[in-house]
Amino acid sequence: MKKNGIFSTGITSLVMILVVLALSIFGILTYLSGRNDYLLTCRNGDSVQQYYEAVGKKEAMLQQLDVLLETSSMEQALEQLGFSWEPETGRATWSCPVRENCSYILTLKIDGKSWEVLSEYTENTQPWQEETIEIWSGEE
Amino acid sequence: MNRSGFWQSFFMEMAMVILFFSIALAVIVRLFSQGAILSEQSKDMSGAILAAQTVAQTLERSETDQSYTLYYDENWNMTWENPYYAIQVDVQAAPNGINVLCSYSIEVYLYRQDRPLFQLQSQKYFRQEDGL
Repeated sequence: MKKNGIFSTGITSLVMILVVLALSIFGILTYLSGRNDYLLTCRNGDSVQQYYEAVGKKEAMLQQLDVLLETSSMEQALEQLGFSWEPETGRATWSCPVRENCSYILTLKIDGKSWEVLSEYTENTQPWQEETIEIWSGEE
Repeated sequence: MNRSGFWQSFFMEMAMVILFFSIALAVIVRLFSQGAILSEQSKDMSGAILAAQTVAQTLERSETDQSYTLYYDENWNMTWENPYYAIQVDVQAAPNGINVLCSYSIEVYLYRQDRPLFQLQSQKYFRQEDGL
């Protein structure tokens, strides 16, 4: 093809393809970044909602505990509410699932009809699988 | 190729380039705008989650049965004039003798668009012996 200065045919197509390619890559990166940020925020929001839902269940359970301690024996009340009871220490532990592999653990010290919160926390309940790799011990 | 033939092919190529570029640009602009919208929504929701948690923590330490609304500007500073975000706090108290179980619902929304961003629901049990 005969060239005629800078207006040779094909150059504009090539430049356009490069520009469109560059813009497409930046556009896709912008979209993926925004989408991943949004999904991460949604997951964060879900976990916060699930945590506060578990806290709400715990508070409602504590109210139930006070009612049951007034109307029945301590052992009956704890059994009805699903506590695990340690008579030696006077500690009662209650757990509530927050989400998959995560539970809200509440430990109370109960004395007759009164109680106090010793600890409350969320715990990862996923079974721990220790991974072992074979390392040469130095012995033949 | 003679001179008129060159210009003919040049303008033909330019027309094809402009047509293809317009179509490609429409798709690319849509990608950029969707990314920007998602990023903006993510920013709004992140702020809404933090603000809702702050209100929830405040409610856990203050026994109240009054529902109220809080107003914030674009930077999550409390304001009364031209609010951008708003938090509606609904509290329902269920007395149990001298103790009270408060159920609260916290809804964060874009004030101008009345679009909900985040909602949190929980409960708090206030005992007389806790001094609250």
